[in-house]
Amino acid sequence: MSDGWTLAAREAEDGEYTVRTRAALPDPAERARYPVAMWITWPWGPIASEAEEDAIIDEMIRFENAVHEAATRGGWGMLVAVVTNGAGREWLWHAAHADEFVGEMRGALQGHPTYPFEVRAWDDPTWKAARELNPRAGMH
Amino acid sequence: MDTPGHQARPVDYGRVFSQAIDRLHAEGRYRVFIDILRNKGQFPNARCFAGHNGPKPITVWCSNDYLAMGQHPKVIAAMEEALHDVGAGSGGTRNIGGNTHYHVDLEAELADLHGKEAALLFTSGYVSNEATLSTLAKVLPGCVVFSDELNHASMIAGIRNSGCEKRVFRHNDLVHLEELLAAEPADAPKLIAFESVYSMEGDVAPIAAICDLADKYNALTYLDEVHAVGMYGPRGGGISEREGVAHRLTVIEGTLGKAFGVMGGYIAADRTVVDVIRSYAPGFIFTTSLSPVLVAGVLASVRHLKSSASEREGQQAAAATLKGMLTDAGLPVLPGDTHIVPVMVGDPVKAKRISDILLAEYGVYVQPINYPTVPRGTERLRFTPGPAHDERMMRELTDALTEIWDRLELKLAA
Repeated sequence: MSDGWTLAAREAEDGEYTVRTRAALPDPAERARYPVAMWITWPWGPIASEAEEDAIIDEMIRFENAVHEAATRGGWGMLVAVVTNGAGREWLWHAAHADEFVGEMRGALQGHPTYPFEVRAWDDPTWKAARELNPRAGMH
Repeated sequence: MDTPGHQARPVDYGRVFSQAIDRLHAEGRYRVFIDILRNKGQFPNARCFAGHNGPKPITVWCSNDYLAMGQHPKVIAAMEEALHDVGAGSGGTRNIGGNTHYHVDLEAELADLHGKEAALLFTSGYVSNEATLSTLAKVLPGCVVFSDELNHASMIAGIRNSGCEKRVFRHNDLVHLEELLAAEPADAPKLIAFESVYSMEGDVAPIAAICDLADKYNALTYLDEVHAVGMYGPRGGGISEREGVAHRLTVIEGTLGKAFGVMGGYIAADRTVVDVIRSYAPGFIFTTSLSPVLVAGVLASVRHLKSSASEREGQQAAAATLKGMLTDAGLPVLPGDTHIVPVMVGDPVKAKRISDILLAEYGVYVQPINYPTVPRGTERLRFTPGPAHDERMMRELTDALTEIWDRLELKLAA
């Protein structure tokens, strides 16, 4: 296996949520290369049936795989964590530059339908958000 | 193509696997196994190790050991005797060292149970269905299999692995089955695959009428009796024995892990069919045979249930009593004539929530039954009362469910 991932399911007042994260954060050089946190939020929205929910999950997986594969190949970002809860699904990527990430992501999603996600970016050179999502993640 | 300056990275298998599990969580389909130990001789009492600092006493309400034969003194004594006589394992496949006298005796006993010429043991009911159906249909070139839409996953896997044509008929719908049979060429080999008791619905197939159609269209029949063997019929031969139609069925399949209380699966059929499966089915040929200890236990169980009806009668009485109590309390019990008592919830999250509350607060263990085991929107709790569940336990269960239904504001029966 190239990278270890962990998945934790937790109960909250509003239902179960899951956090899928890298088991260990990357080494310092890699972290320094990606100092910008990219937080992508995709709300469930109204779901009329289980089939619709399945279709949305399929789209989320296609989106994640497309961006992950392109970012890994192109070296412009790194997927760090995925959080799913009653409100939707959220992804934490780390990038070298926010604008570059967004531009490359658009390219990776060419041919995909328009997805209802929002992107936020902020400087996080210490990878604080990643460590909050997985406090047990080992640091190199 | 890789971007210049960056090396291709290997597939991130860990991310793919965790993503697959994450998907099940998102859909509410992730399964958690409850860690228990049954108390020998005191079933349905057991100990639960989930989320406690030590074992917590619980009552098991979802066991497929329907008649508590896994706890029967004759079964345990037979297993102990075999263990001390011949040791733990069989030592090989049936073809190479693993064909013990226990296996031979049990197959004769099972053939007799169903009035067939021969029987064949498998390591589980799943394997017996998969191996037999996939092999039978393969041996018949151009075979078309007619499969009830609610057939078990093992039957679906067997039919799929046969590579033959499949026609799915609506559950227990004879008119639809006949339409499909009539649409095929008269000279095409045909096999009708169905179950006697459908474990999630708790209803029973019209076996005689299906055999009539099979006769009319020259089709073979394959009946899965896993939830019925040991349970129905004067000697525990299943619904087909109870209704006097066992002789009309080509293959009867059963399990040794439910009413017989131990482990394994089998088919019973005429000698030639059994010989074909024995000789061609990879799922039978290339696996270590069942431990003689297990086989000895099953042998004692089958022999006992052939002559004793008290377990069956106790089980049927318990099912009727529980259905009555739950119905009187206004809980949405799915009607049916069998030993299975499904209580409908209709929501996977709530079904799991009820199950969690029952275990944590009431010491009641029942698994929620969610998609894909049952269709979406029909999520349920499935109770299997047995002869050892007494009225006090049933009253406590009914009161607990009533309280939870009220707490979660669930719909009562109309």
